[in-house]
Amino acid sequence: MAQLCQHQEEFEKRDTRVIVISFGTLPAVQGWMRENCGHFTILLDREREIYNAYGLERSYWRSRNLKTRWYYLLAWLRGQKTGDSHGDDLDQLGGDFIVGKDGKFKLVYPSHDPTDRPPVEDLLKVLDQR
Amino acid sequence: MSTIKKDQIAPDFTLHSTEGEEISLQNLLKPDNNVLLIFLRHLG
Repeated sequence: MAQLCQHQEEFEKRDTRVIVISFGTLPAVQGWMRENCGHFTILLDREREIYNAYGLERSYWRSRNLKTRWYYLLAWLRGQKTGDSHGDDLDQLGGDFIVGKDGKFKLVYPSHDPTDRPPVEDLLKVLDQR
Repeated sequence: MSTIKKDQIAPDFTLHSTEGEEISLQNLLKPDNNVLLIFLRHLG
């Protein structure tokens, strides 16, 4: 997420609105934004209607696989606060979508586990395709 | 598995922002925007 925040201008250059969709409670989400970045619009999907409509999954085991545990360990070693879910669902896997100007999906990326996300460079490449 | 596929029309939605504003996908696409939707993981 921090990487995305740093590339805000790159998305603006490509006429792209970056929207974060969260399931957390409002104060929790605002706390999360203060810690991460304040540039992006955050939408609240408490009932997970959109999460489900977009075919995204939840998984207890994939949210706690070795890769995710390793990520947490490294974050903890770097002194980052871990284990605070900000009211969010610990089992959510998340995902990323790019909707083109014509309203069609240019990218559909349901995450395999919470550490799985497309690199920012790949997102920009998709936006550069005509 | 997600049934959503590339090149498919994205299902429209309307949600509230943290500022309390009602925002739909259709409005985000106006006047001529792409939209990157990031569904949060618990890692952020």
